Amino acid sequence: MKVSVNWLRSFVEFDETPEQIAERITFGAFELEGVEKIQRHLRGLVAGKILESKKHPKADKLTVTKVDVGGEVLTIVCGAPNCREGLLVPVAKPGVKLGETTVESREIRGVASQGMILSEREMGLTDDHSGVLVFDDSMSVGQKLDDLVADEDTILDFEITVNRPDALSHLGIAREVAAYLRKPLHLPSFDVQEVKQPASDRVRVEIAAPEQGPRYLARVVEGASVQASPLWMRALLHSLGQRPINNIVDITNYVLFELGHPLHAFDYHLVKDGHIVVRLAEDGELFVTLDGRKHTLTAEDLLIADPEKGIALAGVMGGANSEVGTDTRDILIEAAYFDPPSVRRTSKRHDLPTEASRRFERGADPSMPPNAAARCAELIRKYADGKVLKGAVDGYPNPIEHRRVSVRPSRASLLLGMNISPEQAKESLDALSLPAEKEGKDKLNVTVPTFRMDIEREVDLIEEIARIVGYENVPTAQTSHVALQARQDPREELYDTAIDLMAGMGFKEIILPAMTSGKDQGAFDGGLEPFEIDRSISPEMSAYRASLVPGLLRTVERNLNAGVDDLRLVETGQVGGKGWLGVDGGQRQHLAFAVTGHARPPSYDSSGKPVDLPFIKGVIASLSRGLSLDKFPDFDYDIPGNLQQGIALKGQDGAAALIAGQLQQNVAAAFGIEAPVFVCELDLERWTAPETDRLKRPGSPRGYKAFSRFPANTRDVAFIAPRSVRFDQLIGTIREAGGELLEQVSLFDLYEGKPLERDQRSLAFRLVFRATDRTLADEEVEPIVQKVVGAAKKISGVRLRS
Amino acid sequence: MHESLVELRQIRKDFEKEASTVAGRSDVELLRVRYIGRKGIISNLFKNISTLPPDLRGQYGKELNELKNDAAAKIESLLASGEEAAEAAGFDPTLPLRMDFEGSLHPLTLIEREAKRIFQRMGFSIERGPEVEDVWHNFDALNTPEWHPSRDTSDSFYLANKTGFLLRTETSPIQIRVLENSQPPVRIVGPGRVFRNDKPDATHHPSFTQMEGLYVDRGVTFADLKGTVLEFYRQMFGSDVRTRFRPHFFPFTEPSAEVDVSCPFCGGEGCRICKNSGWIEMGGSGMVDPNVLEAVHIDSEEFTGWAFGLGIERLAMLLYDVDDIRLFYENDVRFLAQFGGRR
Repeated sequence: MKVSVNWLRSFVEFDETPEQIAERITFGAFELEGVEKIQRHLRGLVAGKILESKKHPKADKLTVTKVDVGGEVLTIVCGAPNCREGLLVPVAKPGVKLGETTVESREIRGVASQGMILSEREMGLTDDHSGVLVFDDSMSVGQKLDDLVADEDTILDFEITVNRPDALSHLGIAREVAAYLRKPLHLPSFDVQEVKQPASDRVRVEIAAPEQGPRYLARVVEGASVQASPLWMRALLHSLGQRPINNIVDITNYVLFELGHPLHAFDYHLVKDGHIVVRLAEDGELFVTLDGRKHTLTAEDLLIADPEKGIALAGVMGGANSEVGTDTRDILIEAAYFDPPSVRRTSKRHDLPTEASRRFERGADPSMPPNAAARCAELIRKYADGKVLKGAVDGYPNPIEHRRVSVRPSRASLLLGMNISPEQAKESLDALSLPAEKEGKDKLNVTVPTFRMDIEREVDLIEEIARIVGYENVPTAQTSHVALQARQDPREELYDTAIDLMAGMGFKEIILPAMTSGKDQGAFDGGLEPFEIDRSISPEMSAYRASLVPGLLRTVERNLNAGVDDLRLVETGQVGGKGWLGVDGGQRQHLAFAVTGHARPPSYDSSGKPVDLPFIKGVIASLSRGLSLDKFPDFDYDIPGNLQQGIALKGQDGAAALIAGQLQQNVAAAFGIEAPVFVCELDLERWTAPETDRLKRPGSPRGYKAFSRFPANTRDVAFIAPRSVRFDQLIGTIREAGGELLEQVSLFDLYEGKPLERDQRSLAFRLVFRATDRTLADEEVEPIVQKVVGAAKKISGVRLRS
Repeated sequence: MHESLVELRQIRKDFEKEASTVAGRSDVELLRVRYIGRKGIISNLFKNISTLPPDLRGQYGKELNELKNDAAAKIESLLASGEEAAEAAGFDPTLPLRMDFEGSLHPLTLIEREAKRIFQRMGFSIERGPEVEDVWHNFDALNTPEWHPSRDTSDSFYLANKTGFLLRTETSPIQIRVLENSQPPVRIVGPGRVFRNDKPDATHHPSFTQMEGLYVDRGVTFADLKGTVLEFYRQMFGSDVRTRFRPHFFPFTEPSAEVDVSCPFCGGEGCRICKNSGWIEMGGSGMVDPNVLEAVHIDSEEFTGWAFGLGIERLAMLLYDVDDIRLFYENDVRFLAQFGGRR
């Protein structure tokens, strides 16, 4: 909302600078969004009469004029197309300053020019530079123009919060300022000079839809002449960002910015019989608004009509069929109050946000129509020579009652944390034109004026009191209660720990928008069912992700393209819909990572080893240990088709809680990745089932397993086995045969190649035997080793390597 | 003297001369091969013995053996002194370090965690909520008027295949979820992703991170809000920052206020970061609207509360001097790698 400080001063007197006023408003109600200094150039100008106008001898587009500026006649070269004999125009004599430049006598193509004839733009009044400004007869030759319009003004632009439509006007802002400064508020005059003939002779108002159109007031002005509005009004509207049109339109806009009430002017003779019908449109009824757009209306649109046709979309925009034009003489002024939701829906349905709809849909003042119409009629009388018919025709079948709201000063004190006395509360409310009456010791009854429809409850009045007291005067507490009951959801720690562990393993945490490309989700796994976003801003953000992996892959691609080959990326985040783990519905917190490149950084003396599945298993085991879960996760190898090799883990509920492995080449290629890339996605909660029983510490048992203080007896055994025999089968067999004394068994060498057959490999195991109560002698260990060897050899094709 | 003896002595001189100029192990090795290797100069001379006059053979053989032994000894000593020199030089400690890949936390996580820690010290617990939210939790329960623009499909992301749900537009529905399931006193902060239909530019992103604060109990006041918020920003930015509260409108609070913090980089004098205003706008706050409490069946006469929201990206951009919010979501490792350690 743009506010002219000069105009504001006509409602409330203040000595503060525009900057000081802006600060008061910012800390009282509305944030300042912009400041514009208006500089007009009228000082030193005089009105002059063009006595003679001849073509410049050397330039087609220039004229050489003789201008009488009162007491002297100047020769001025003028470039304006409308420059001609007899016109009364503004003249800047040599020596006059127009902003930074000083007008001087100078030769223009060989003719001496003694000053300038000015356009509105050159005077800083409006944007009009189509020709020189032409005065009417009310101006006399030689008259000084200094006081025609104020030379300076400041336009303050405030962000008006949506709950305060009353502040979308100079009156509304002035009311705030008056409250802060405790100064009286001066309303404009609503007196009208009327003729004897009553308006009711010429106008009839019929309200057929009182719910959507509770009030419709009409006034009539006859014999007006449509022309340019007065210079000061044009300049003012221009400074508020409005383009001046003609006096009738400009006056309705002026009243809009003055009082905040939208008005509409019809050409009276285009309204059949002067008969206004406020009704709902018929479904499919066609209507052309005055911007030339054609709309198909619905039965929910409120229409202002005459007995034959619609003439305005109520509260939104007038119709092209009844617009005021240059030939218009008689005018019907509409000042109405429309139901906010109705206007909102119509404005939205037909994509017509206007200054009028903006106010009506937030809530105009239902009591304002008589004053707004009177103000408008009087201005038309004054500036368009109209005759105002007596009175108004006011269709207001069910007057809206004033709301009564009470406030307890003790409640205000309690909510704000400071003492608010009843006197202070009353004084604050009164300052805001919210008349408060005391009832008993701790109650103020406020009759809420209709311009403050936002005040409905006690707390709304407390806010008003707080604003006037000043938020800065509310104390700042130094202590606060302690909530002894503060608990922490164990999941929070789980997420943080998981990311810390991953970072410790060399992973970089990434954060992606949860909105992602639906296409990418499908390219990763055709079975994903992400949530689709109804009106997405781009295909890259068309879905709410069901899996974290596609986003990781895009990030891998981006960084590979940037020349970084070794990547370990991790993200935690929510997913929804049906995801990779196959679980449908609900919101789950997942962790996912992607790895490509080396398992260890290559160095100056080692070339490094590429990432492989055992590396990924190690990452998962480390994460598992760090989260105090199983030391050795019980992997299974049932993996989805988009992996070429991988592992899975079941959650506590039996469904997959983790999937990891190397991506199929064609899937990786869909994300622009050529290098082998490993991915993992896991459901943290379903994997870990975070512990809420405080008697148990996460992952740690009650008690501990006693460890032996006797030395170990270690043996190495190597087997040659067909490749079809899997490692886990072999080590399982060894563990089982080794019995209790076999403390640990590990693979310490894996060999494939000559002299072994192509389908064979050699696996060497280190067996560590230990007893808790004695040193194990060789004689005791040897039979167990033989038993282990015997058990292994029972697997088809397995033999001991000699 | 017999010419063969002269030749022998010349060879000794040559060897000694060459031995005096060797540098490094490989030179010594070459010297060894050249003189006493299997086909070396000295080794070859042994074949000559049988061709010499018999009276000369004894002396020649003796001198040749001496030469061979001396040469071998010399080479041995040269090799040994080389080892000594290497040992004296020792291991080169300036060789590049060996290090595993370095992990890092995302800058937004670092800031979010710091904010969490501050509130946890004040006795707040952390709560989360679903990013896909229903209209009731996201708008209705938060007293959002039916006409409020945030409800509009052009401002918020509704789901096409899950009717009545949208991506939450703020973290405030966390308030509702917590209050639905617990009785005051409630002191929580709720960080999380939120979504709004903003075109991405240097200061906007359609997905960003907020942190919600909520305190509901008997006797919670606006003064409490001011004190808590001030203390938070002091711990975040430094103990000399100030806060100021400006009236505003939010559907879920009444009275409502926007919070500005005095610019911690210029002390309020005015600088590039605060756009010369001396103040930085940080977020919204206010007393929980009675309608919000009533929506979750909490007696708004008995209990009062306050709530606030702040933007994690905003804090991160200020504290890390990052001028484009999109950098946080591009996840270029050359950006991420610059944010290490605990803030």
